[in-house]
Amino acid sequence: MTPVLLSLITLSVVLAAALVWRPSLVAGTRGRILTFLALFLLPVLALAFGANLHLEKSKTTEFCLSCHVMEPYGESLQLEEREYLPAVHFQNSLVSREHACFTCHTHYTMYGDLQAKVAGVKHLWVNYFGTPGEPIELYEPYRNRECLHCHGGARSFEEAEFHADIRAELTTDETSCLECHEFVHAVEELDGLEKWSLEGSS
Amino acid sequence: MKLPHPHKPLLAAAVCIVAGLLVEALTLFGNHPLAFVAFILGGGVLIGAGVLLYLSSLAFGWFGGGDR
Repeated sequence: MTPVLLSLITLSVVLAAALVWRPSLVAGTRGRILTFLALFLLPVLALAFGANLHLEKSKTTEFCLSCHVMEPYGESLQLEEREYLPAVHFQNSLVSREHACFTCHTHYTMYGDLQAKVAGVKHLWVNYFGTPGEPIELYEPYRNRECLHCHGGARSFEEAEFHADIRAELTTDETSCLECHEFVHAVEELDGLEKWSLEGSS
Repeated sequence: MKLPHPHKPLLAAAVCIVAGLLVEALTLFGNHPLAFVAFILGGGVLIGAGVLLYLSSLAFGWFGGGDR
């Protein structure tokens, strides 16, 4: 994607720059077509492809962990103990490692992706112009909907006796998944906990 | 470089677009929230302004008078 986009940007820049250096190029029908390409079609395409690329990049684990405040959360994905939910999902590839944060922290609704982006801008604002909490907290309680997006209907989940007993409560968020699966990022205890690494395990 | 008046909005549009595209190209190499913001506030605004200027020049008839 990036090489194609960079080629598109280069072509747009060359054509637009040509119009700056040789204004006489805009004369005539060919000139108008050239101007339309250089000042409308190609830049709009470059902007649209660029926006798409940036939105895709913003879903990556690398992107989320590029802020200093997120580093402990990245580290928590390496915890050795199997009770820690994010770690067990990440290490066993239950979520894509490239999109680990986004997979669990987006809203699985029609505008969930958009809401995630708006929240991301808010995070950025707080990070640079405010004071992030220590530890940082979600804006609203974590909803079961995000867990059930994958686990709902999965045999291992549905056949667990206790899940069947409270299935309706889980669907309506009356009981949170995190009431039982309570070990999450544990960023305050990271120093005392053992870590796992892909290199060390092979 | 002395230009006929009708070309000036087009030149301004071209300069904005070139600057915006260069900013966009630079942001593509970063995978950081600030690169995303630079893309939106730098590249997006400049390219958007350039395109709007070009469309305005079409709508208000600024474009094309210079070659007559």
